[in-house]
Formats: sequence, C-alpha cells, structure tokens
Amino acid sequence: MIFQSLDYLIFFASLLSVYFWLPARGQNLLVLAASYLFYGWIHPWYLILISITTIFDWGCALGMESATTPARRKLFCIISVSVNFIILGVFKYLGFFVENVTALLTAVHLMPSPVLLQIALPAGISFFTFQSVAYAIDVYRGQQRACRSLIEYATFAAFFPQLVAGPIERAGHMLPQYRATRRPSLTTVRSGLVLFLWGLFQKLAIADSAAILVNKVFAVGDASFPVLWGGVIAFGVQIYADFSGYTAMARGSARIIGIELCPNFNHPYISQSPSEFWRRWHMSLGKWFKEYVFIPLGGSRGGAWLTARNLMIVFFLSGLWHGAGWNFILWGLFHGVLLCLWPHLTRLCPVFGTAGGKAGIVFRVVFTFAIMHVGRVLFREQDLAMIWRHLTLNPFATTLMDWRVGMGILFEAVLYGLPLTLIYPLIEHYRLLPAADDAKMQTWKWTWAQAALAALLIFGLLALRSPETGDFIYFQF
Amino acid sequence: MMQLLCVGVAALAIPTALSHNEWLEKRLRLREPKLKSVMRASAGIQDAAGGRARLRQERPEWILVGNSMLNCRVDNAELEALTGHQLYKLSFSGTKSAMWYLMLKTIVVPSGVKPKVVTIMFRDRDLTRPTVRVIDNAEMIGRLDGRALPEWQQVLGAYEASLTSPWTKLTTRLGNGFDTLMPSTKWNEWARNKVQKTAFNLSAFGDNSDYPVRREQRNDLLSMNHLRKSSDGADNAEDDEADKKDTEPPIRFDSSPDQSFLPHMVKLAQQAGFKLHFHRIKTNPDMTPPMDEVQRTRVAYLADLKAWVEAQGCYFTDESGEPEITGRMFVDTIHIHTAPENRQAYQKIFWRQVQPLIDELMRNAGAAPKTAP
Repeated sequence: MIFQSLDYLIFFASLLSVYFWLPARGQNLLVLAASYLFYGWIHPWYLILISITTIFDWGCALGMESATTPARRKLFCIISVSVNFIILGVFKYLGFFVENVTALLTAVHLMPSPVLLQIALPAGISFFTFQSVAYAIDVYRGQQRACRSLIEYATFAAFFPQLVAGPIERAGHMLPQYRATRRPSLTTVRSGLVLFLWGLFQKLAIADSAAILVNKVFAVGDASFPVLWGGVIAFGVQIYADFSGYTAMARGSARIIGIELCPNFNHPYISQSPSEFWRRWHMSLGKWFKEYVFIPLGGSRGGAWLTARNLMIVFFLSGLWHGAGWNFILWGLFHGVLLCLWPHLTRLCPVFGTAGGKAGIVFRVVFTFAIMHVGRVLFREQDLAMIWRHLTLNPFATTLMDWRVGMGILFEAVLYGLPLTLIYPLIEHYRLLPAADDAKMQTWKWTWAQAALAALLIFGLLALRSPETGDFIYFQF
Repeated sequence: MMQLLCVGVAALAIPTALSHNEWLEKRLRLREPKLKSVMRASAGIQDAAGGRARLRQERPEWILVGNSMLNCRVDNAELEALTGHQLYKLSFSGTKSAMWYLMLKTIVVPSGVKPKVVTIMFRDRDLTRPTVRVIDNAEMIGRLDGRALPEWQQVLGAYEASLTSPWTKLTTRLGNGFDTLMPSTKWNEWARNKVQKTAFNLSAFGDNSDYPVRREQRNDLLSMNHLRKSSDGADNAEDDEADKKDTEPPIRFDSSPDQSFLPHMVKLAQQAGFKLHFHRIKTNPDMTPPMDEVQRTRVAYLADLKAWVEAQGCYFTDESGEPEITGRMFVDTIHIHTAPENRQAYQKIFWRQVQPLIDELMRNAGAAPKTAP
C-alpha cells in the first residue's frame, strides 16, 4: 500500500474510526494489525520475515537484560545484531555478491557460465533492520530498557507510517509514546492532516513531475552536457520532494494517531558544506551511522588520518546501505572523500570555511549544491560506463540548442520545485504545523491560515499533479 | 471541533468551487486535455466521433492501423507519395489488438468511409494476446466506447472482472466521486502547460519566437531515437510481461472468438466489405534471441496464424525475413529511428514487400479474395 493511493485513504480512515475509542493496549494492537496489513498488502510473505525478526529481537533484548554476566549480555547483543545483518545481507547483497564473484570467475575462465541469483528484496528492509539493530545496541549499552510487552515492541518494529522508508526511529523516542493512551488534541490532528497533504503535494506535484524529466534524460544514451546536468538538477528536485514528501506523509499520519516521528530533513539545499548537508539530509540515517559506527570507531578523536578512515568506512557503508550496486559504493566513497578533503580545502581557501560574508555564504551554498549533485549522478546512474561518460562530458562540445533544452529542463524542474522554497519556509516560519498543542493554533486567525494552506495544497495537487506516479525512490532500499 | 471542521470544509470547498468556476475557465481558456499518448497519436483524434470525422475528411482508400511501431516506421505523406495510394495512418502509441479492434469497430466502419484495404501492423503474437495494454489504455477504451460491445465482454469480460475486486470497485467509485466533486483535468492541463511554457520562455532568454521549433527539437532530443541500446523504448512493462510468457513453450495459435479479437476483426471486415491485411514487422535482429525450442514453437504459431488468416480471405505479409532491415535501423527492440533517411529506407522496403498485394487489392476491390502474392 502506498500513501498516495485511495487504498491508503480508506485504510487510514477505517483505522481512525476505531482507534480513538480504544485504551493504550487496544490502540497498540490495532496499530500492529494495521501495520501488518499495510506491509502484507505489498507482499504477504514479507510478514513472515518481519514477525520472525521482531520476536527474535524482542527475545534477545530480554535475554540481554536478564543476563547474569557481561559476556552473556554481549552474546545476546551479537546474536541479535548478527541475525539482523545476515537477513539484510541475504536479501539485499547476496545476489550482488554472487553476481560479482561469478563474473570474476567467468572472466578468468574458472566458471563455464555465470550464476544468477534472484532474491526478491522486501520493501524497507534496510530501514527496519537498522531500527532493530539500534534497539539491540541501546539495550546492550543500558541506554534503553528492554521492552517487556511483545505487542509494544512489535508495534515499534512495524509501525506502518515509517516502516518502509523511515525515519529510522530510536526505541527511546518511540516506546514511551506507545505506553500511554493516545488522545491527540484536535489541533494536533489538524496539523497532522495538513502535514500529510503537504507530503502528498510534494510527491504528486513536485517529485513525480520532475521524475518525468529525469527518466527521459537518463533514458537517452547521448545526452549532451547541458541536457544531462539539467536532468541531474531535476533529479535533485525529484529525490528531495520524493523522500521529504514521504517523510511528511509518514509524520502526518503518525501525528494524527498521536505518535510523533522525528524529522528527516532540514533544508538540505541551503547547506554550506558537505558535512552540513549530511546533518540536514536523511537526518535519522546520519544519526544512526554517527551513533553506531562513527563514534564506536573513534569518531574524530584520533587525529586526521583516523578521522578520515572512519569517515570513509561510514560513507562506504552508507553507500552499501542504499543499494547493492557499484554505483552506490562509488557514491558513498565520493562523499567520504569529499568530507575528508573539505577541512583541507577550507584551510587552503578560506571562502570554503566562513570567510567572504554574504557573498561567501552564497558561494558556499551554490558550490555545495553543485558538488552534491555530482554525487547524484552516481546515485541515479547504475551503469558504470555511463557514469564515466556523464562525468567526462565536454561542456564546450555542445550546440546552442543543447543549452536551451538543458536550461529548459532545469527551469521546468526548478519551477515544479518552487513550493519547496516558498511554501515550506512559510510553514516553518509561522509554525503552521506544530507537533504539539499550540495555543496560537486555537485562535481563529491561525485556523483560517491553516485552512487556506490546506485548500492551496489540495488545489495545487489538482492543478499540478503529474499524470504518472510511481513508488517512492527510497522504497527500494 | 468547530475549527477542525472549518479547516476540513475550507480545504474541500475552495478547490471544489475553483474547479467548477466557469468564469475562471473562460478567462483562462481552459480546455479538455488531449488524449494521453506515449508518442504521437493520430493527429487531432480524441475519441471515436473525432476519428470518424477525420476519416470522412481524409476519405482514404488504404488505412494502416497500429501503434508506435507503425508511428515510427511510416510517415503518412511520404508513404502516400511513394505508393500513389490515398492512405491514412490510424495509429495510437501503446495500443494492442483490443484497441485495434475498437478502432475498426467504432471509427473505421461507422465512419461510412469504405477503404479498399485495412492493414494492421503487428509484432509476433500481438493479434492473439488481447489483454496486453488493456490496463494502460483504460481511458482510451472509454473514449472508443469499447466496454459496451458484446464481443468485448466475450473476449475480455472475464479478464476485466478478475481485475475488479470489491475493493477495486470501492476505490474506483471513490476516485470517480473525487473527480466529480473536483473536476481538475482542464486545470491540470492548463497549469502543467503553463509551467512548461514558462520554462521554455526562461530558457529562450527573452527570444521565444521559435517556441514550437524548440519544443519539437527538445522532444526529438529526448525521443526514442536517442534511447540507450540497453533500454526498451517506451513503457513496455506489459509487453515485457507478455514476452516472458513467450519463453514458456508450447506457443499455440488459437482462433476461437472468446480468446482474441482476431476472429472479430475478420468478421467485421467481411461485414463491412474491406480487405483486411496483416503485416508482421521485423524486430531488431541484433536483439532477437537465438533459435531455440521456444522460437521453433513460435514459428509454428506464425505458420498457423498465416494459414488461418488466409483461409478467412484475409492477407498476410511478413517482413521478418527481410535482410535489408538491419539492427542499425533500430533504436530498441521494435522501434526504428525516425530520421527521415532511415524511415524512407524502411518505407521503400515495406512498399516493395506489400506492393504486389496492395496494388492488386486496389485494382480488384470488391472481387473475391485471393492468396497473398
């Protein structure tokens, strides 16, 4: 089931019709059943996988807490984390691994014919696996008490709004919310509804419109420099609106039922450096890698070389997390190198740091935007030969028509993406969609402002929605 | 609660009022959107009535029916000049046999234009796979008044019923309800065109006099002619699915009227008094799989198809053995490059293939059918 379908609307309305009448335990049970229906709608056999891992992780956490010796505690943690990673490895990476090994053996004539292993990838496996791993580590570290109730834990592990594409939540943030009966105020429900609409608008009007341009540009084999880069910028608009739209819909749905999810984006395209970009883009994944990989490896405490090593490991894993493909690995390494080199760049040329006043800020924002979009080529293009072609295109070997077409694509994508830079800052500035009860939103003035925003989004959706819609990009991860 | 209601009512009432506002519609000159098409559809035809009017205007003696394979291969004016016959290319991209039947049934026959020959350009098993592209073309089927036909129900009734579960019916009704409440197709067409035109204006840096030319050039730069060799043209998901089934032998030809629209096409041609000619295209030889057991059964299927078609008094030609149609002419598995010299070269080959048959049929229109030369 996808958010932008009538199926979801009916599903969610049916859930709400019962939800608010139930006590906390009943609400959890209902949300759990709804989450399994939501996930099983995509493919029923996914339920087997998620229910087994849920019971296993829940049991391991209890085992950790009741372990009498630190060694046993560690053992339970290792088992839980390993099983999660083995499942992730089998479903996500085994095919890639076998394909590459057989290709290598075939190339040196050690294997007569290539072996193809096709395993269906369960939607959102990378998200819920990482969430479960975080829970196991938190319990091991003593930062989180093991959840006694299987229903509560299973609700946390399979919570439908964020199950397939995040945000990757921490148990410490979510489990306490499941313990109390949820009776969100009407202003919170209103805020959730409009937040959902904002996400829907981002997906259907912005992301899917940009996707039409992107798909065309990346389908042609001889795109010139301006056409390709017009398409890459369009992809930047698409992926941001797509993922941010999903997150808004997830947060909106959760808010309506009284659960608050963490934000995942904070205006990433105004970042002044790659490291700032990663603090603003897919924040929940960034925090996960920082907390469970970067800091345990030593973080930035061990000097320049160790920091660089740790960054490279983090971004290599981040690339691999996104997908089993060489392009994703290259994408991760590209960002790792960028983060390692950036401090040196700021020393060599202070304008990359904090110098230059307002002009310096504009320069850094534009430069960061541009350099992050070089990475987008690696992210979008899976064929390594084509990546090489794209990155070595000569900007001067083009015609005026190429430039006009490329600029046309770029402007079209930017026009579709304008609401991201116009509407969203207004929502934030006036705090039109507060997470909790806000006295301001109970006044009629702000109620009408919210109503106007909702009407604008619905009409915008009708007028600008793309004729074609597809899955969210991050579903594949 | 009052405030929540206000937000809800305003959020629905304002867009509803806007989408029903005739004054705004007139002021902004909103129009019904054009028929969705993967590539270029038959110019000006939006529905069955429009198609009939167009045929009455053109009064062709030879009609070619097909999809993007026909679109990229044949240019109406060029082929007309080459053949000397007055022809009309009735083609919509993304269509398959079910829609071709509807074109004959609801456009060609009721138009009153009596063509001497109707040629259907198809690929491999297109003629006996009625379900392919039916979902994609739901809107077009509606515009061609398809579902009410008894033969439609005979061939596709069970298939379509299997797609419409009670849940699907519920969501469809809800979707239709939304559409009635907030009819937005005109607004959607208007707003998206505005965005595209503004982008074009901005990229022209003030000089937008050549907008149509640039739009055409942009479409060409991003067209199938420039597709990567590894990708398969347009949105071919259903075709791909059908092709996968083709890898499972045995492939048998079935002429029963509840299995495909082929017998219905033949019957329609007999009743309307035009000659029906089926032309099988050659697919990209560089991307055609080697001869194996499956391919051998496909050869048998095609032989049965040809024999059956000819036994019904129709005509069958096949360009798949034509050595001059090489892989270099193609942009993917089935579409050829639409550069004029490439298309003209193809048209010459095509005409060489079908000329004896078409010329004879044109001469003897109305006479008893003969075997294809």
